[in-house]
Amino acid sequence: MFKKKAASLIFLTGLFLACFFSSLVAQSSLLCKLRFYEGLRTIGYETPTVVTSSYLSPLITANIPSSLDPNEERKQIRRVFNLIDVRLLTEADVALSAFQKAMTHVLSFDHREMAVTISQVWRGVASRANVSPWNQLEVSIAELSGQERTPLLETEIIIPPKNVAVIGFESRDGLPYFLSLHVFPPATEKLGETKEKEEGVVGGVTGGVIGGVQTSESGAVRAIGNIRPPQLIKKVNPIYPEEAKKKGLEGVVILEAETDTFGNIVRTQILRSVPEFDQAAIEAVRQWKYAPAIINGKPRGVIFTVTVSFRLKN
Amino acid sequence: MAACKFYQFLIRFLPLTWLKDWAIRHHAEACPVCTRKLAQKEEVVSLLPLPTKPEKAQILWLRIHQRLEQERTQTEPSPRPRVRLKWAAAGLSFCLVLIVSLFFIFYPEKKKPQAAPEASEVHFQIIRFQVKDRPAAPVIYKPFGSQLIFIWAQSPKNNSIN
Repeated sequence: MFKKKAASLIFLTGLFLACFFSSLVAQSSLLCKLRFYEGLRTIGYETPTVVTSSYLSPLITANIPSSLDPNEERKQIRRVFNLIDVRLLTEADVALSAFQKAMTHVLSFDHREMAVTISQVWRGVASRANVSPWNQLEVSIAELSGQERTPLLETEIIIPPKNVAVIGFESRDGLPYFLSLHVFPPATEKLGETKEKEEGVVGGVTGGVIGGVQTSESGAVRAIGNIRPPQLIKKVNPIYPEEAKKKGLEGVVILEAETDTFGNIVRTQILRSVPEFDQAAIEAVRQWKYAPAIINGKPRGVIFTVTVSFRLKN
Repeated sequence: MAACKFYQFLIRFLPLTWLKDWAIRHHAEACPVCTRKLAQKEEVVSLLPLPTKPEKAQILWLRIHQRLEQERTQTEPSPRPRVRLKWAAAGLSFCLVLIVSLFFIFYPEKKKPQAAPEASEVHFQIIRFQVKDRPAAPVIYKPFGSQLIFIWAQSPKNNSIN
C-alpha cells in the first residue's frame, strides 16, 4: 500500500518537474526569423525560382508573428542599395534555447549552397554593460562547395528590440545577397508584446524544437545542422496559373518535402500558402528528383524545405 | 551438573532465541533442576511445557482476550510513527519542490520591469565584423522612423555596391 502511494507520489513529482523544465526551456528560447534575399544589379540575370533548404518546423513558421511584410522589406532593400530588383529566396525560423545555442540553416539554389549559422553570445559587451544578453548574436555566412567552406561574413552584433537587421554581403563571384534578421526575445524578456503573441510563440517553440530533432515515422531524417538538404538533379518548372497571370499575381510558396532512399519525392506539405499557387507548386515538386542522400553510409530519406517563387517576367 | 551449567549459560547469555529454544528442548525439559530454575524466569515460562491446571472457561477466555489485546497494542503502534514520518517527509519535500518551482516560474514575470532592457537602453552595436576572413568596416544605414537597420559588408576587394 505504502509502496504504491510512494510510487504515485514519485510519478507525480516527476511529471511536475518535466512540465516545469519544459516550460523553462520554452520561455528561454530565442526566436529568429531569417529571410534570405538575392539582389539584381543587371537586367539580364535570372534569379532562381526554386530553393531547397534545411527543414523548417511548420509549427514555428505558423506561430512566429511577422512584424514586417517581406514585400515591404525587399522594396526597402532595393531602394537603399540601389538595385534593379530584390528577390526573396527563402524564409526560415530558428529557435535557440539554453540547450541549443547555435543553429545552422543551409540553402541551395542554382548549384550554389550557403550556410547561415546563428548563435547566441553570453559573453562580452552586453554582459559588461549590464544589459540582458538575448539580443547579442553571432552571425556567420559561408558558401559551401562540396566539403569546402568559404566564409563570406562573420559578425557579432547587438540588435535592439523591435528592430530588424538587414545584412548585405557578396558571394564568391560578387553577387549581392541580403540576410534579414528578426529577433524575438524569449517569453520572459518580451517587451511591449501582447499576451496572445507570447502564448503563440511559446507553444511554437516547444513543439518545433522537439519535432525538428526527431526522425519521421517513415525513417526519413530531417535536414538540420550537419545534415544538408539533398541536391536537386531533375527539375520540372511549375506551371504559372493562368488566372494568377491575368491578375498579375506573384508569390512565394514554401513546402515541406520528403524524399525516399532513391531521391524521389514521396510527400509534400504546404508550410507557407499562397492559395493561387499552392497546387501548381505541389504538382511541380512531386515530379522532381533529388540525389539520394547517404547518411552514415546508408541511403536515407530526407525531409527538407522547398521554396518555389512565382514571378512574372515583366 | 556441569552440563546443566553449560546449558544454563547458553540460555542466559545467548542472544539468538532459536539456540535458546534448542537448549531448553534438548536439556532443560528433561532435567528437573533446570526446569525449576527456568520456571523462575518469566520470559521462558511460556516456552516450557508446564503441567496444565484445569481452569474455568470464563477465566481462560478472559486471558485469551487480554493476551490478544496486549499483542495488538504491542505490534500496532511501533510501525505507525515511521510510516507517518515517511509520508510527512515525502509531503514536505513535494511542497518544497512545488514552492521552489512556482517561485522560478513566476519570479521572472515579476522581475520583468527591472530586468528587461528598455528599447532606448539597447543600441545597435557591431562588436566584430569580418568579410571573407578579414576584418572589414561595415557601412551602416538606418532610415528615419524605420525599424530596419541596413548593414553592408564591404568586400576587401570590391568597395562599391554597384
